[in-house]
Amino acid sequence: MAVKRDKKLEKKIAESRIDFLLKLAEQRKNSDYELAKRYIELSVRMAEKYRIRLGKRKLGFCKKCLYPYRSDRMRVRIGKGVVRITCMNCGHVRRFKIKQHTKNRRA
Amino acid sequence: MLARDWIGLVVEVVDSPNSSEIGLKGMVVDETMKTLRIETEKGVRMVAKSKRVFEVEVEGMRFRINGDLIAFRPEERIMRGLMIASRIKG
Repeated sequence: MAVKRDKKLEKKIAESRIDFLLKLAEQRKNSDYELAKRYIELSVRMAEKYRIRLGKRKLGFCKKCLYPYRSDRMRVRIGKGVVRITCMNCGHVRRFKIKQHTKNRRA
Repeated sequence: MLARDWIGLVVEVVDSPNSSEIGLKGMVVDETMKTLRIETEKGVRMVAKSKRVFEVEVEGMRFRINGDLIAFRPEERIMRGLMIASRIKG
């Protein structure tokens, strides 16, 4: 018979491991870029497996090629209320809207 | 321990069928399903997990672990490791 899984504990462990790996990737990204990518790959896979939302942690690396953003490997442009981040490894462009603080947006 | 992250830990190979691997000590830099990459003073070495015994020190405690017990993909090991642990407990 299959052993019952303790999914809450699994999620907790996975969460701490993801944080740990992303931190390591951040430390390593200037000395060993490939290894930093590998850590991010592992943590993303773990997040997929245990269904953990990455949230703001996603902003540290390229969504497409999973290389961490480094100042000499990225380009940031701001205009028309949109931030565009270009990854110089794969050319992938991400766009974020800048939230506007208008009170009567729905009035 | 079976469900932990091995990357970043200091590991020593205690027993191995390959005699040149015994006594290897260093930090784990990468992990795949069947191997560990250990960073020693003489560069990075790849060591298979199966049939080897590793010694790890975590939070003041020393563990001796059979490499066959951790021969899963790193992202799968949380699930599998917990299952093995619960099976050992009974």
